Amino acid sequence: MPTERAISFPSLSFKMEALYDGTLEGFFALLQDAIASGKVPDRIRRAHPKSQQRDSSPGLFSEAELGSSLVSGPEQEQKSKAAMEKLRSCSEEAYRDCLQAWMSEEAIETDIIRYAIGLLGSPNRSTVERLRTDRSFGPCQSVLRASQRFLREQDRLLGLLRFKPTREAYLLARCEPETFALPALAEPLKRRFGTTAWAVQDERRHLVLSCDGSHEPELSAYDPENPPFSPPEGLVPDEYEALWQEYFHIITIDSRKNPELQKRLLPLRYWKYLPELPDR
Amino acid sequence: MELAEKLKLLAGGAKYDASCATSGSNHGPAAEAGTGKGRLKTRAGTMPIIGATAPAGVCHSWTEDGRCVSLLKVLYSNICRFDCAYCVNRASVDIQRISFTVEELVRLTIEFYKRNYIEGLFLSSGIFADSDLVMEQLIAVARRLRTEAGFGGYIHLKIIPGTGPKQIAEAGRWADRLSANIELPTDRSLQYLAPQKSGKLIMGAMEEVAILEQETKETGREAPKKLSFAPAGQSTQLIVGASPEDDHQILSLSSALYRRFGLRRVYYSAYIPVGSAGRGGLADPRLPNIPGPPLVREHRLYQADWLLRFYKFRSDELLSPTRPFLDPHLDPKTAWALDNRELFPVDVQRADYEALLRVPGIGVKSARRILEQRRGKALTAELLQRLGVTLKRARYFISLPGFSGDSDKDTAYIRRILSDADGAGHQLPLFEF
Repeated sequence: MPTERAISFPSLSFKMEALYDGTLEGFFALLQDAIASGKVPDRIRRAHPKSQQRDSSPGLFSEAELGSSLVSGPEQEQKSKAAMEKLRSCSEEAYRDCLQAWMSEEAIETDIIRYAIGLLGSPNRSTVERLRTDRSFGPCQSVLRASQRFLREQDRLLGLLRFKPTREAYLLARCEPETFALPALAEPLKRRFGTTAWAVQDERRHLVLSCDGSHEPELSAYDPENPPFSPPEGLVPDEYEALWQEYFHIITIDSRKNPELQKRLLPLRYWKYLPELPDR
Repeated sequence: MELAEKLKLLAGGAKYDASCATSGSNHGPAAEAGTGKGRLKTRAGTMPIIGATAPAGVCHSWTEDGRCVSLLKVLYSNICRFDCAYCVNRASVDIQRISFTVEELVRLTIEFYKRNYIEGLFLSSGIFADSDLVMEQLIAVARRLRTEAGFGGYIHLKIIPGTGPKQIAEAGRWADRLSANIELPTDRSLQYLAPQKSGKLIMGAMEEVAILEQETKETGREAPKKLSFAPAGQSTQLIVGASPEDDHQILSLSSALYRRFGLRRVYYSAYIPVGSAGRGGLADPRLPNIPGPPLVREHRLYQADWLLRFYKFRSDELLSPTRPFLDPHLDPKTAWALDNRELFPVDVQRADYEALLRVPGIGVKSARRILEQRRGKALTAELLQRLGVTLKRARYFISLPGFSGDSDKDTAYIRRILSDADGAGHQLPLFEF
């Protein structure tokens, strides 16, 4: 007698996945889609931003992707603008937190969208203000944590960038930030350098932020084979770099030495571009 | 002498000054609109072409001793006619004596600033001539940086003991911060270890700065475009362990200085024996013979100072003549909480801000967040952690529905668990404790 066999099926779950072009505009267009449809993708993937697409494989933007927001152009621009305006009018601080969280480049786009939709659905301004920092509200903690992480790196870079004169008469700093920090450096560096021309090169993303001292700073992509600024001819290190190295060495108080504390305050990943410290 | 050689000598002679802050000032090109505290444009009469200050300050590096580098900290000169026992530059030490020129210091500051090594200049000096003459050289550097080099960055000038009111006013015109180091907590110790210095004169300089700050504030209210004076205020430094004063005397003095002269910071500098080889020749017999700087004591004093400034503690709550030293094994807030068990546990769902601030493991930020979050909502242990509360410390001092804390544990047990738990020997940061 045939025995009855339980037939089991693999559990099928339909997840909505979205892919966007990695730009802020693309992300806010996704947010607008989510606001309009009331559906938040379960997973959002970020393609490299336009500036870094030269090495992308042709199959990256396959049509099989659901909910993708890869169509740049007027439609994306319009959607993006609409979402930004909605969020800003809801709460300028929340908009700033979302922006900073996105710039942390952590894979938390879904949380940012949930956070934004949660705030946009609040009945009044006082609820928005409460929810904005309510760490018991699911996505809030990860958005604020990512935003803090971004700000921490921004603060660190403002102190740890090291500028050198270039042949083009700019002061140039090189870095490899973990976050998309360059746009946030524009204002404080412009303020710091006044009428002096300066540039910061993100060697991880191949982006350069530059300012000629009389116009607004500009962010642009560059070809790593042909970087926009070249080191000056002459001694390496130059006179003042050598003086700085000497100064840094002499101001350590031997009887207070605590290299562990130094490494905790100044993580090793930043040492590469600091002339006063050995490259790890 | 080569600039490198001068820098080596004159930075080496200034490194024991603990002051490192670049906060509290906000000027630079953006001050053009008149919104910044410093209003540099009106002070200097020229627009800065390089340099700005950031209200929160910026650290540019950390040396191997874990200290933040934010300023080019140098002496104008190490030639000194004073013979303070604790000082590496004292007159009786056989070291090479040298001075910078104003031009050299301006160039060094600008070039270091351009490369983003520093936020600005900290300038002190040995007392090589009459106090006003020495002060005039420091002022000349600051003035030239502002007016000729168009420098909008941070400048901290040391007030040379004995400087007159006119020079103090002039220094505050160009500097962001001024400081007169009190060095030792009592006049008696000062007389013993630094007989050429006068506590009265040092306090007099602090008072003068406080008066000028107040006058500037009042004038500023009436005519906002008037000149400003040392927008980042004044600070001082106390050496810990070179003289017999206890922590109670030191903290009482700090508390009085904050109250009376509105000081922004009191720095505590663990006395470093300067008599051993390489640190300035023979040891002075007036100084204690200790193996190394009392770093844990210095750390505890900074923590206690933090409690005075941000946690609304009074110095007499932390120490008394019968209990004159801070516990080296416990942070001062935990030590205070263990001495006052009757005030705990604190109900975090209902307690006011002041009560929350006194709970070990709850800092200024987390106390504020608790107030925000608990409106119309029950707090949980998990949420407290998300708000930044250090539960491994707070659990002994709080009550919360549904949270089985350890507030019923006896004091000896808690003391044992929390002793040395904050890693003071490793000089942990001071903030959330």
